[in-house]
Amino acid sequence: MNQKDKINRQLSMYSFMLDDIILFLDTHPNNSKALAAFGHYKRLYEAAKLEYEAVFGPLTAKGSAEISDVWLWSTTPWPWESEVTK
Amino acid sequence: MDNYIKKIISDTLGETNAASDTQKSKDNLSAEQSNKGEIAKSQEKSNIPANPKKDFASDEKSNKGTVASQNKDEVSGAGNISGSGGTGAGKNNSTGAEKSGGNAVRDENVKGVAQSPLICECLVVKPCDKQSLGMAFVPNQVWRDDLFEPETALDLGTIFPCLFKPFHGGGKK
Repeated sequence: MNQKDKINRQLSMYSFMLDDIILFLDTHPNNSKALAAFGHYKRLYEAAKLEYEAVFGPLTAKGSAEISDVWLWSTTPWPWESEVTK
Repeated sequence: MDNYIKKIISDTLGETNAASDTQKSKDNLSAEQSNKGEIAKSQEKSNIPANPKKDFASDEKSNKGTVASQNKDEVSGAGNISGSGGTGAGKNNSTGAEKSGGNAVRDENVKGVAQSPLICECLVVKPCDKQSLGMAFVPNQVWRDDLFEPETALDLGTIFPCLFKPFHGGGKK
């Protein structure tokens, strides 16, 4: 597994953790432990996202961390493109 | 289901009415013979069927016919009034006709669904037939700290061990 796939996997894992915690929080909005868990995995997700975008370009068109002189969304490989197809 | 309930009702009515009819016929044989004309007249007046079981379906049919004819009358009445130029009156009457017509259509739809040959009778749950009534409830989920690790959770499809319900598809072998 190359670095891109590794970070992609991390993003999927943290994103899934957040999705399930969100479902719990929808019915338990005051649960402090769930809120703490959400904060924890949100930080991990953001860190993984920053790491990905620093190396491989924006993860989404709207969620690009940095705005440069070039439109990076279309000039860098898309997140679903593997090293083989690049 | 509708047919099944009707059958129970008609069976129950049939039994009680058969018994009461037999008793009636014994007690009132002489009276009926002497006052045949009066009883017939009173039945006609009050519209009480001689045999309720027999007349259960025919009552329904006659009711259907009455509703249908009433709707027809109302619709035609509304048409006449609106045709005569009374805008307000026509509007009100047509609304009433739509309402009553809507009910009739709804009833027919319900009956149509119940009598549809597409619904297999084996799907109809019969009460007291090896099954008991019950109440379903879903307990409120409680947060536990024993969440799955992110990698495991992604593979299993949940982060909560209490919600991990693997499907064994026809039984665990």
